[in-house]
Amino acid sequence: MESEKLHVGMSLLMIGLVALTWTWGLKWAPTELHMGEVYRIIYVHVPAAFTAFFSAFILLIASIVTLIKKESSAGLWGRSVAEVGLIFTVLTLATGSIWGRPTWGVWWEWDARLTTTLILALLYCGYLILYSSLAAGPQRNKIAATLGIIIAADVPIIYKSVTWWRTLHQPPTLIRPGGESTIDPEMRIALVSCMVVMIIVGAFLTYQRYRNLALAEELEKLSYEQTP
Amino acid sequence: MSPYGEGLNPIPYISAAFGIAALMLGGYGAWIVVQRKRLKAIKIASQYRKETRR
Repeated sequence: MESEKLHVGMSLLMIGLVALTWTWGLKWAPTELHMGEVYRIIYVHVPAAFTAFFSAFILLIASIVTLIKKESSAGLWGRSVAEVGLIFTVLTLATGSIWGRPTWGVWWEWDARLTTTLILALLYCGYLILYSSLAAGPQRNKIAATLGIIIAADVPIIYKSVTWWRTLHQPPTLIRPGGESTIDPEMRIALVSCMVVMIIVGAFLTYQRYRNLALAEELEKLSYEQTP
Repeated sequence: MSPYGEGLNPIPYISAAFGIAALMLGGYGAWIVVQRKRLKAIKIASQYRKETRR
């Protein structure tokens, strides 16, 4: 019961943090010189993208642990983080598309950054379909972990896509290799706060989903025990 | 339309982006809560069944 109260409190804290950082981005952060108010979409688009990438990194760790230790809990962590990663990748694509319409004049363009992000979403979908379609056991964990590593390999390609190919998407502004950030400090602090909070929310959702999956697995074992 | 969206009403775009984010994250969170309640109910029922069988 105490644990439930803690989880309710944590959920309310997450909602509060998201509300605070979004208000910061929407109301208190300065207006962009060229794009005007519409640029504020970055306060949800960029954090969603970073959380999707961070999920792929956690999926990589879970996959490596699965392959080395052959533990089923690492497989469950992989499954939970892949779900959360898919949600944040779809959110990145949706908000990017909404941002693209007023700034580029198009909802979608087959540009390198957008296409590689779409591939990430499809890979996450593939992972979840594969995980659900295979019978539980070490074989499933091994196959899913291999795909998990492939998913993580797409992230550096997405990140470097704007420098490797000529794209419509802007080059990195927040983390520039060997250079100063080109974003206004007031905007940067708001954006970094939104990113940190979104990653925490992603981690919280992953943990909650993991608990459900672990409970479902426990129930499955219980039903096997009860089968006459 | 200017290349950077000047002169456009930004409110529909901003609302759509933040609205989709709130719906997706809120919806997923709510689904997890509902699923947890169902799983716990099944667990209680299974334990009860196990105890009454003894």
